[in-house]
Amino acid sequence: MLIFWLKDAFSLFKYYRTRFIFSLVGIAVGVGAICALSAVKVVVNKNSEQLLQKYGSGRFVATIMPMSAKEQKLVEAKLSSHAVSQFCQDLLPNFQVVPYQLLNIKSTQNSKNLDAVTIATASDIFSLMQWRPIQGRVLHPLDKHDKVAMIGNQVAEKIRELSSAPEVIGKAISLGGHYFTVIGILEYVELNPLLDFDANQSIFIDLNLLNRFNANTILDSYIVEGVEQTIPESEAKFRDIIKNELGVQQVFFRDALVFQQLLFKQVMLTMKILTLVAAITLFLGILSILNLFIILIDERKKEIGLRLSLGATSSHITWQFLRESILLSSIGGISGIVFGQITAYIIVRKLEMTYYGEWKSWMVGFSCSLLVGIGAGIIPAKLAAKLHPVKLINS
Amino acid sequence: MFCIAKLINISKIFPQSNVAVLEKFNLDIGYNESIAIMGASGSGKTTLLSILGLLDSPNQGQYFLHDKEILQLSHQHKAKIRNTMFGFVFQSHLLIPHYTCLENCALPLYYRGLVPREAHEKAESVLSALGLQELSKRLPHQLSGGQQQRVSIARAMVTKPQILLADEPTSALDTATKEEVLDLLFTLAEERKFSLVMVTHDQTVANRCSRIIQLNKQVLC
Repeated sequence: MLIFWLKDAFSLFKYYRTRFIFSLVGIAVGVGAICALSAVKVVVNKNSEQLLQKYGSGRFVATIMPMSAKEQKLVEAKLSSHAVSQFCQDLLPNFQVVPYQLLNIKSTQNSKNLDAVTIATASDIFSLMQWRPIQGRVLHPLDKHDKVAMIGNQVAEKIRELSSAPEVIGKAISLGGHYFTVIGILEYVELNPLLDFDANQSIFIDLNLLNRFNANTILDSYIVEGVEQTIPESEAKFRDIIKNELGVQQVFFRDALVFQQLLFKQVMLTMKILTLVAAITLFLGILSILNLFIILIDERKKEIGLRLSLGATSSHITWQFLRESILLSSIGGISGIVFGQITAYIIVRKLEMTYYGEWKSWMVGFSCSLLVGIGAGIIPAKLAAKLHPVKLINS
Repeated sequence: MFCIAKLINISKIFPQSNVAVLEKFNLDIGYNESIAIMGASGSGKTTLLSILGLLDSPNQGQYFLHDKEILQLSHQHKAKIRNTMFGFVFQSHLLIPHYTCLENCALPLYYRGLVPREAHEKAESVLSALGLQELSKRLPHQLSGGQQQRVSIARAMVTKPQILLADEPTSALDTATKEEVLDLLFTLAEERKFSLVMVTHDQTVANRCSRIIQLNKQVLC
């Protein structure tokens, strides 16, 4: 029966093809825009999910900011370099926490600038971030009083350049006037947007050596890995702990969800344009089908009268018109899905993301086209069914 | 004679013009009878045919089909009766332009609930019986006036009606084609034993029928 209905509708479309083509284009563009919109959303979500997985789905970076003297006092007691390890220990097993502090000091080798960032941190950072040495070894808790440093591979490269010697391990580098011995070189580490430094261009020293630089000995940044289901849950729980333990109200988080927001921000303008195109063209598509079918009722009066005289009921006539409208919009919808997927592919490739063909966006597009067909077809269908057969035949 | 349909005191008034086109009109349609309805323009010929075919309702009166009053039936029931009991042939043949002759011929059978394949088989056999099989895949605009009218007669035949209602079926045809179409109609009526009610202005056409009913001019109420 479906094949018969399709053939029936196709014969009608073929007969009135010039009129149907405009409605078809309108629906195809509208549905295409919706489909592209939906596909881009799916792709952005999938890409951000991948980023979440890549950078740890339960991981975030917290920055603790004491805002009053009272808060500062408590923070100094618990988060200074000599006490922070105990504080982090106490948070286990709910949170695995690694403190770090970026030091604003000059790093040189033979008085030549290394252009590197010095980071005071706990040795756990390497296991938590799964950073492995390419040469030598990583920092160890027993190194806490030794002036040794683990360096990123780009810093090692710079040292090789400056010293014109291939061996870097064991070389002395100056950090803020203090000499440190290089004990290991990190393998290449992909840039992690969660962190405010590039590990490849960094020099890592133990946090217990912070006081050697007369720097602020409070560790304000923490890489946190929670056991909660979601990042917001973990963050909320961590915020509560900081509030209860340190009385600090202000805790800032940087997490992988930010990537999602960033990706969405990137495609925001495109999405706004697509939404506008979808809204306008679908509205015009609905009007076009509505108008077309109302005109067709007038042109097909005799046909409707004939159908009624041959035994059609008003529901047969309603279904006839509705069917034609739905089929017309479905054809437009299918063309729109193809058009939308191509558009989405182009957008996604331009944004240098990975494209995924997603059936959900096809379903969204097709559902929209069905809704347009029903919405635009129901009025003409009902109008046609109400007409009087004698008046129609004699028209 | 066995009476298939009976109209008793049928009146039809058009409220807009307050004109009575039919007033207390009575008619018996016998089995395999052919009736010509004649009269001046506006005398109610087409209205009478529409009432007989359940396409229109009278303001007053009773309509018995096989001794059953049918005017009070629901629209759906009337549609079913139209499909099973009546065949219609119109002046302008009324074929659906985007359907082939076969599909046009099978149209009443779709509304009877037959699957398209079955409906097409039946329509094909009727077209063959009328010598129109070579036209089955053509669209109406590819046919001559006479061929179109023959296809519309085939469409009326496909449901094996008991009464065929024809509204000036030959008025748009030339003399030679008119005779051929009339021959076809009367031969089919004889062979398939249906009653024929035909509206016509043409006395020679009317003379071929077993009975002629002359309608008077409409009267103001």
